[in-house]
Order: sequence, then C-alpha cells, then structure tokens
Amino acid sequence: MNYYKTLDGEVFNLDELTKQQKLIYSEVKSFYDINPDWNQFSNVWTDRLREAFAGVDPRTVVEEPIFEICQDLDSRLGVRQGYMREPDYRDLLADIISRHFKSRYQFCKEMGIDEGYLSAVLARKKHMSIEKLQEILDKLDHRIVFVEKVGATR
Amino acid sequence: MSVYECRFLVPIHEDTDIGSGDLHPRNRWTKLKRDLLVKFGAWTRNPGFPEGVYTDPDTRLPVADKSREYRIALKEENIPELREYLKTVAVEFRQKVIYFFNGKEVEFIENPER
Repeated sequence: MNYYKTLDGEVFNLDELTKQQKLIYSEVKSFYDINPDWNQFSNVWTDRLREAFAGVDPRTVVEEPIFEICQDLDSRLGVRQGYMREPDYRDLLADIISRHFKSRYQFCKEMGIDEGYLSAVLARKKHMSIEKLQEILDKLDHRIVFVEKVGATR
Repeated sequence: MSVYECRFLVPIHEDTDIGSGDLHPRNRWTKLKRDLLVKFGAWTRNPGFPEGVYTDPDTRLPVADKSREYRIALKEENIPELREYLKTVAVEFRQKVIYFFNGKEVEFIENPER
C-alpha cells in the first residue's frame, strides 16, 4: 500500500486516489522535492486543484484527501523554510476554542478559567499546567497525541 | 457588476504587543487557506514577502515585518464580506490591524478584540 502520513499523523491511502488525483500528487510532490519558494509552491498546488475541481463546491474540495495532502506538503515546506512554526498545545487549544465556542468568554465560563489567564496563555506569555490542560481536554472529550516534528531524525 | 482586485497583507509574525512576536503556527495558515477557498473561491498569493515598517500607535515603537500578500478578485457586493472576515484574520493572527486594499483605497482593518 502506498500511503501518505501528515504532520498531524493522519494517514491517506494513495492507491485510493483517482487517476487524476494521483497525477496531481505526483506533480506536486515532485515540485515539493526540489524545495521551491514556499509562496510559489502554494500557488502551484492551489491552482492545480482549482483546475481539477472546477465547478465543485469548495466546501467539498477542502475535505478531499488530495487537498489535505497538498496542504500538508505546503506546511512542511513553510516550516522547513522558516516561515511558520509547528503548533504547540496553546495553538491547538485556541483552535478548539474557536471551533467549539462562540467566544473565549464562553469557554472560560464553562471551564471555570480566568479570562486574563487564558489570554496570557494563548499569547504565549504563560504556560498552563499539564493537569489543568488535561482537565480541560477531558471536559471537551479530547486527548493529547504525540507526533513527530518536521524533519525529525530519531 | 464591476469586479475589483482586493489585496491584503498578513505579517508572518504575531504582533509583539498583543501576541508573542513569534512566527505563526502552521495550523493558522492552513485555516486561512481553507477559509479563503470556501468563502471566496479563487485567490492568488503574490511572490516574495513584502517588507514594511510602521509606527505602532500604542507603543510608539517602529515595527518591521515581512508579510504574505493575497489578491482576490471580488464583485463590489462581496467586498464587505472580505472586510468582515479580515477582522477575524486580525484576531487569529494576533495583529492590531490588517492592511487591506479594497480595489479603490487602502483600509486598516482593526482587531475587534483589542
């Protein structure tokens, strides 16, 4: 089985892509392999997918495995070239809050956390204890997962 | 109906006053890309990273950064939606303002949570 594993640990079976999508993957991956300019790479794969999925609802396109794979290659390049960083728990927590709560205020109220404290944590000026983080994640039915960073050598 | 070329800049670092000054995490850029595709369809990123300097109105200190520049062609009736979305971008990317060219003039979209 040919597979692709994303930075977040999601695995896609490349054999299940359509013929057209396999061709796109091959083209995009070959371009990625020469370490192109990050902006140029982003434009190339988004243009390629836009062309391939012309007329398709974009909300469907962003759920396609080929979109996720190309997006992941984009992220790998951006991190490697020093234009973005790997997220830490604070970034992922901010993500969860924006997806599941109307506001940080609502989140703080439900979790029993001071808003000023949360702001300081999310602004990376403070750390949250692992105990507090686990307590929050338990209430949100989420768990901590360890994945390799971009360029991990161990 | 006329179509306008709109552009906006997203600095590659968080603001040092309301954020950490660090590079953005990759999931932030991922979400931006998905949002732009779903809400506005086509867009282009200009090559390179425009560099700029401005004086922070709160700290009175010069702020320099590189930005990613996005170009979107929109009908006039859709420009308010982009303007509104850029407020979200300002919040999520920890910026005080987002530089926005609406096809006719420059606006500075303020972070509503400041």
